[in-house]
Amino acid sequence: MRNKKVAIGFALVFFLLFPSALALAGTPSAEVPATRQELAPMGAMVTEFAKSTGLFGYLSPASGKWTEGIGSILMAGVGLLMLFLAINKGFEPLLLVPMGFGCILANIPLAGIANPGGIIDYIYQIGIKTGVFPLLIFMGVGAMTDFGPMIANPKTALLGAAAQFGIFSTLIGALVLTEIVPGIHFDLFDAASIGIIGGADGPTAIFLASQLSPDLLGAIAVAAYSYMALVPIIQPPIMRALTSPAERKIRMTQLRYVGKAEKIVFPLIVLGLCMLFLPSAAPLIGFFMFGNMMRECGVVERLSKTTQNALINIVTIFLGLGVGSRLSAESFLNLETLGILFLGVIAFGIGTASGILMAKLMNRFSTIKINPLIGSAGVSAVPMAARVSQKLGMEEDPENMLLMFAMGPNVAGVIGSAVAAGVLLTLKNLVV
Amino acid sequence: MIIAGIKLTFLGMTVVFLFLLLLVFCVNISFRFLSAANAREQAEMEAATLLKRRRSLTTKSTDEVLVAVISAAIAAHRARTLLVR
Repeated sequence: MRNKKVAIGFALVFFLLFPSALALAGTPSAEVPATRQELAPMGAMVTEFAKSTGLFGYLSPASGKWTEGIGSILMAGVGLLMLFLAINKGFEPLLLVPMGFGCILANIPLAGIANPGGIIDYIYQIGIKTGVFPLLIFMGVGAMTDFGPMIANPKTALLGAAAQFGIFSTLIGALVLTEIVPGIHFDLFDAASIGIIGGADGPTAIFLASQLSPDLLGAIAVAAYSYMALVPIIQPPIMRALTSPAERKIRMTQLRYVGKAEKIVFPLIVLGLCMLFLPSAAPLIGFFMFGNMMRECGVVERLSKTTQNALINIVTIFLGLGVGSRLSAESFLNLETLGILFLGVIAFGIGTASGILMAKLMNRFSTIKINPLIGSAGVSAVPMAARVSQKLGMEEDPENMLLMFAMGPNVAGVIGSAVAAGVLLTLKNLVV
Repeated sequence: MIIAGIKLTFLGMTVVFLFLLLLVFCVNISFRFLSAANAREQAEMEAATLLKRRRSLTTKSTDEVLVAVISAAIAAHRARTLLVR
């Protein structure tokens, strides 16, 4: 009861004092423009407000282009599809959720969130166009990667090299499509950015695309991450087709012990090689190896933990949103995107096949046999591709554990695709 | 342009293979230099695990002995009470 009285008292004081305070505050200053004091007639107000709704923006876009009207609705549908795939099917949810939502945000008519000056355009300009976000992610990946299996059996790194053939064959494929399909125009830079999808490495693909052909970034990122999620579906048929049951049963000799000193020296070796032979790959390999050094040196556990968890998570959010901002109808709903999606599958397929064929080739010349199933893990996609090798090995022989052996080519594949990206980055100097 | 792609493929695959071959070579060299340290580290680790296992083994065996003694005592007691009845 008492509370009620107090509340009424306050309300009275507020309603009496506030208008009088306003009145005392004085007359409107002369600086306020006269136009801000009057409103248009009610009818005009309603029409103007109707014109500022999203509905009007969809139905009658200001530019008159279909891509800004119905195209935006379709793109919001693409964003919803990405959310569906992430939430319901578990496809790379960490990236597809921010990316899908970013795509929806970017396609709100009249809001201009992804236009110059809009919030997610700033995120794109600051983090992706500069290449900062993909590199920070790469640092986190380095801090999460254990190179032990590769150091223990260094020969398997060659499988990771062979699998990069997927990148370059797709590059040729993109150029062939340009020749034979009217409506598709990829130049060498575009073809290189599309090829890197075959590296099965999201940050590398985004980094290269942001440097060589930013226009295709959205489609390339979507293709790279969707197909990485589809590795367990794309790879097994190819692996079964290229290997015999006897080959799939091959057991590999146990991996030797890898010491701490070896693991600390390893990132320095890779960095040294990069310094000497491929400085163009230095941003990617440098950050990757810096992350790995933090992990292995054992004295900066706090930094290593942060890089592996908090930092990579924060950057992933903004990377996803930033990529989403490039998903506009104009740049996404065209024949070229279909071409990129088609070429992406081919890239993964060829990468898988060439890894397996390389393993079979190595078995021809070596007495210590390797199970060709681990060759397919050369297409990065850590650790999904290695898990696929393990699964197929167990189908043939339930006691054959291939996971640790497959991690060798798997992590070598990450280095391999970074090297390939380094070569492709030199395109800027090679083109005449 | 397709010819350009083939040229790029040739260059790219060569560089990737050479880079990883060199890496394999360097890793093998580093193993040669560090194998002594590796062996020492491994020996220390094995000694530590052995010690741990031995400790757990001894504690386990005393427990087992205790259980055996108690159960034997109970059995003897039951047998005696049966006899008395």
